[in-house]
Amino acid sequence: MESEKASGAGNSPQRLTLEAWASSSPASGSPEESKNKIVVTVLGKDRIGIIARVTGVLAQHHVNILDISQTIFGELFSMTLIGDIGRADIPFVELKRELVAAGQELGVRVLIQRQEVFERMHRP
Amino acid sequence: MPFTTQEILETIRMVEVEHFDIRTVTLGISLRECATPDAKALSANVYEKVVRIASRLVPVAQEVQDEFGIPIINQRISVTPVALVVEPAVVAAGSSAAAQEILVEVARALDRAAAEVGVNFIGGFSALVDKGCTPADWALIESLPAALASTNRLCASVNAASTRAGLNMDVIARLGTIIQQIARATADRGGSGCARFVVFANMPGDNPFMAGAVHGLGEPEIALNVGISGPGVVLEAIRRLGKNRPLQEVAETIKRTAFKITRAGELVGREVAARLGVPFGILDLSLAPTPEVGDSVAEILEAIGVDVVGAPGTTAALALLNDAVKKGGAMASTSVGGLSGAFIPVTEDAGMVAGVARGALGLEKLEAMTSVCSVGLDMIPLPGDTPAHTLVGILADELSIGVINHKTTAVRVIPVPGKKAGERVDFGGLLGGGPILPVSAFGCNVLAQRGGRIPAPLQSLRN
Repeated sequence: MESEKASGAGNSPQRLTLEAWASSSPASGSPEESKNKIVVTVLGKDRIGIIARVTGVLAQHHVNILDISQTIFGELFSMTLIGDIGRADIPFVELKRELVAAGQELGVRVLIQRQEVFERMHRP
Repeated sequence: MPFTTQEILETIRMVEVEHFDIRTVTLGISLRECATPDAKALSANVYEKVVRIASRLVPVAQEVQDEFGIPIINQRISVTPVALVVEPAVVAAGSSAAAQEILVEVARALDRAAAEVGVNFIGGFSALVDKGCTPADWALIESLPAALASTNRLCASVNAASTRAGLNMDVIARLGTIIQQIARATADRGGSGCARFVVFANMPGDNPFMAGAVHGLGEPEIALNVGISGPGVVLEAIRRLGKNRPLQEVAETIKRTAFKITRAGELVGREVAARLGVPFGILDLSLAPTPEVGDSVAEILEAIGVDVVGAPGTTAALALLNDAVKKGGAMASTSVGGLSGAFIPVTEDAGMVAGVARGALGLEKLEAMTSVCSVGLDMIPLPGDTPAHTLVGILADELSIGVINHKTTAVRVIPVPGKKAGERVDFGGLLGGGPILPVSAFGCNVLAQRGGRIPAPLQSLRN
């Protein structure tokens, strides 16, 4: 992890990185920044290439991935990802359409929502 | 990760499996500026204003639903109680027949405006008559059968009682007959005109739910009110809790669940309001069932612990549920208003229908239940030959519960033409269907004929 790399580094660039990292949490920020954040959830049967395909669509449209996590329970695959659509080249609904279509090709369910929903529900 | 996978999946499960949704975004519009003695201009003004203000409501709600992933099931409109807007035209009309024609024209204009902007209901064909009636109020009441029969989306209501004024029994006595007439005028649709008409005590002016929505007195020019619903989410949370946990934990679980869905609902509501460029009004967190299995308030009561809804213990379980929902909602948002509680419409709730069919739930138990929850005797199909004075008695009983207990109560009953107790009726869609409930063979003709007023209750010596 970054914190281990930076330990004992005095005022080195790593230390500055550490301070910057410590003072910001990866997926919160100002309300404006928060509005640009999306949560993509993929649910379905595990197979090769799910993450590659979904992140491929995001990269193609300049969506920056801020965080990603995946879990496999038996055959069931779940992935949650946080992305920043601040510089995306297409509107939200079109991105949604492409991700849902990619999910259909893979035989998995893809959901895409603005992050605010989860903030309001779970971070009062 | 700012959220755990579990938290993200919890939200998704609420929507995908447990029917969490925004039941309605209701745009409240003041029609006061539309008043004019010229009947033609009045209908034109009303139509023009509703269409102008609400034209973007449906597409904007769709957009927000797509982006936030929480379904917005209905978009609706509420307007100033129409009796207030038609006053100058009614006075100018001269005769009561001419006045009623004006009212029916306004009703049709509202219905056309609702169709034009694509909302499924428009509420506010209403009169506020808890103490007395103006000529326009009477004209509106008398026009109800024709107005509801010649429209499909219009919802009507009458506030016939309040804790401050008591019960206006002159109006309530007349409404028994009017309800029969509405049923007959819409007999081709199972009397479903009555499903678009509610009689209230202590009617709220900011309720987004139909059929009782109005844009009341003291409201701003425009406001977006939001009705959130989630009986399925509460039901599953209680089921997960298990049967051996004490009731305070049941209440706590309901409160926490209500909190979460209120937070998400407020976000969605405020976003719709912001994109429409209109002020956000209130958030009404009400557990409003639909005929779908798993989206039932009756099933929640059964999960709390009664064998079947209507059994002894039902009123206590409902009291716990209603209070915990309010507490969770009030903690989650400072904009909670409207009705906010649990609804118990019979035909719209598969569990209530099952309770009636099993003989566990009848009119009398429903009346008791309404003393501890939102709304009142709601969506109850009655025999088509129920006498008018019996309907008057049912209305007066239910409204008295509201008046004495300082709360909103209401009656939406449908005397289904040509049907007897035990036969089935199907209204279709969200209105559902179910067996006709029996009514008492004993009436209250003398009480109904007396008319006058039941005085407002004492505010002290409260025991």
